[in-house]
Amino acid sequence: MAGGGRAHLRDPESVLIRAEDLVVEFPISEGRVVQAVSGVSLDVKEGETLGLVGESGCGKSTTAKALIQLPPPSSGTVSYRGAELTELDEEALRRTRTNLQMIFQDPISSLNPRRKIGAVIAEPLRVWGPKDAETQTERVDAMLEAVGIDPDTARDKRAHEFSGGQCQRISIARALVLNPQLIICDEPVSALDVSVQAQILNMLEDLKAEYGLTLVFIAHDLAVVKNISDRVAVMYLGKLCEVSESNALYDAPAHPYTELLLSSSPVPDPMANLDITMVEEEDVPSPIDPPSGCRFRTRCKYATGRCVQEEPMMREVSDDHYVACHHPLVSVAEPAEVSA
Amino acid sequence: MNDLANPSDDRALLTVENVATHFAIPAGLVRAVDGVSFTLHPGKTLGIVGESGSGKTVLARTIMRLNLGHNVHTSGKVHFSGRELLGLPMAEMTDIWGQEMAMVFQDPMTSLNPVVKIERQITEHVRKHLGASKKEAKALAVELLKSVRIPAAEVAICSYPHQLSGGMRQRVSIAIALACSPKLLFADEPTTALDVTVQHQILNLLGMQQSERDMAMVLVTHDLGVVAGRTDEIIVMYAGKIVEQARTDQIFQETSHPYTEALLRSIPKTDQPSHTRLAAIAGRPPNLITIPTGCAFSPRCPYAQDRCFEEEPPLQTNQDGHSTACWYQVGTAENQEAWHKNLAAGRLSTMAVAEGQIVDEVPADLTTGAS
Repeated sequence: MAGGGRAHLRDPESVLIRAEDLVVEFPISEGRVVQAVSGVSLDVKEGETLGLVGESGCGKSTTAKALIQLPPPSSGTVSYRGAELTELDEEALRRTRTNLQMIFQDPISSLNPRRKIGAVIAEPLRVWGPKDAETQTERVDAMLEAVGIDPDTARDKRAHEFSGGQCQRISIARALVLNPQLIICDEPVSALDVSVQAQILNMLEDLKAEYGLTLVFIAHDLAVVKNISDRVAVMYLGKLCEVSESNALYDAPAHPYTELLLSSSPVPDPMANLDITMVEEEDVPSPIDPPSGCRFRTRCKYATGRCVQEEPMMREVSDDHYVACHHPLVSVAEPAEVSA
Repeated sequence: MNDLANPSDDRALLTVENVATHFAIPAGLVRAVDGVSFTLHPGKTLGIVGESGSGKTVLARTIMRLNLGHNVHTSGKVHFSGRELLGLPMAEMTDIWGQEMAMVFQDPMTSLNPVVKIERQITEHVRKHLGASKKEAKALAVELLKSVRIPAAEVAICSYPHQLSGGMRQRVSIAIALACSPKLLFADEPTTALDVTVQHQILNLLGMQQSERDMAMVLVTHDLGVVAGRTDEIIVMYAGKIVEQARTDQIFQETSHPYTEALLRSIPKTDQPSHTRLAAIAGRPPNLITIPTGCAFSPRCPYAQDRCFEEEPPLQTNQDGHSTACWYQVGTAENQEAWHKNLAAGRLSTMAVAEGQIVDEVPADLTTGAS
């Protein structure tokens, strides 16, 4: 797993947002750095849903946040509709960010407990306008209705009076109020019951169609990611392992890490072929001192000497299916290494 | 004959009879668990499944008598290897905790003491219950850490919880729970806070330890995927009551309660194509102070008929030992008839399933609810 290479990127003209070689490092004591994201390149087409999946600490949230410069990456570029976000001045970035919104994991703590729901959703409008109170109320009501909440009863309530699922829908309404183009959903359903999770997933699909949204959907649950995504990127320890159209990824995973994730995923079927003897001793290595070569090699059952020395590059295994692995699980038609 | 269905079975390790736990709060009486009975045999695994607020955790804690406070009203009987637990003085419970039954909690960060090294957290009750010397206890602790596959156990034993990852911390919690070889282990959402790969390993570990030690286990979870391949029997709870109870394969293949069916249908699956519309469940779990009359699930149920709102269905066991509390069980002709009737009437809870609509408020009777 290396994630080096940009073979999986598409024509810059055809995408809404494109990130190249994103690196995010956080300094810690004694001059060491946590290499949270180490050279990730991604692009998302307009109207597409990109799923970002991986274990906690793999850098999926950090990558998504780096897209909207929250914080800006240590190095790398992010171009959004031709504008280079990393080079914009503060004011221009602020203006551009109204198009780039975010929904967070914990629906209750992401809403201010002391403010009324109406005011929470109207906040972006107070900053960006329209300033006229009546138009603001109309807009807030329209958003609440769009997420299936009755505006007349909800407007004057506070977050604690709603269930977790309703709070998450209120967060979605707040993200939608400025009519954004891209919404980053950072584990929006991990804290919810399955029945509520189904509601939120269905709703995101509906809103996406209605408002022409582009989504970056982060989750650790592979089934959830498959359900909502057009394209899926698998991350491990700050690098990309595999990028593919979502059905192809699940039908024929090419990266050993994707295979591991899929085989660990709980299946609601007692007859499913469950490997119940596997218990790994190794923990995920630390992003302070990641393994050389392929970062997944310490947990990979196919690892060889080449994986220690050489970082694998992204290459195409089939149409719109790319993998960064020296020993992919599917045969590669043309073994030519494509690296930019 | 279903093992669960016979509460007077003397081979049973644990027999729970009509247990109810109510909390008196200023707003009224919260009926968190309301008349639950089941039997668990030595070495078997029971899954308890339900949404948040269904009473599954309170039930587990009631059996272990961990619900403390003056406002807790518990009734019923819990027979555990020859003793009735609910009537025991608390002082005698301390001999049962850890030694005979133990619990693994959801959050491994808060269930371990952050300022005490792993060693003492394991040896503490080994020394108390087994009367082991310091040296023996330490050797046992290292053995336990090895058995839960913690690498370099001799080093890990000297660390504090924050120095370990979430998965390793949960392994330590399991080691602590297993230290005195209990006969029954409760695992309350043991993997909810963990990644899928770690979850898989923790569940494997629990399964392996269980078969090695011939220990019975109760696995409490909201995720039907977690219990599918790992339990012998499953109880599905709703509003403090058992709505379906059967062998694991029956729960999945001959699902008979509409609530179980609804839970199963709302889970996204990796073998479905992308953008498959999920069946949602209308409404929300009921307020446990004012549980609706009749079947508690009726307002949200796509099949509900007038009878469901008036008369509470009893938990009935069929000839295969499959128990269900429902008037219109899934798979019957009556159920199909009810579905078509509700669909034709455009009943909200039925439409939520048919079209995946979000419905928050459901009427407490058989009106269509259409506004």
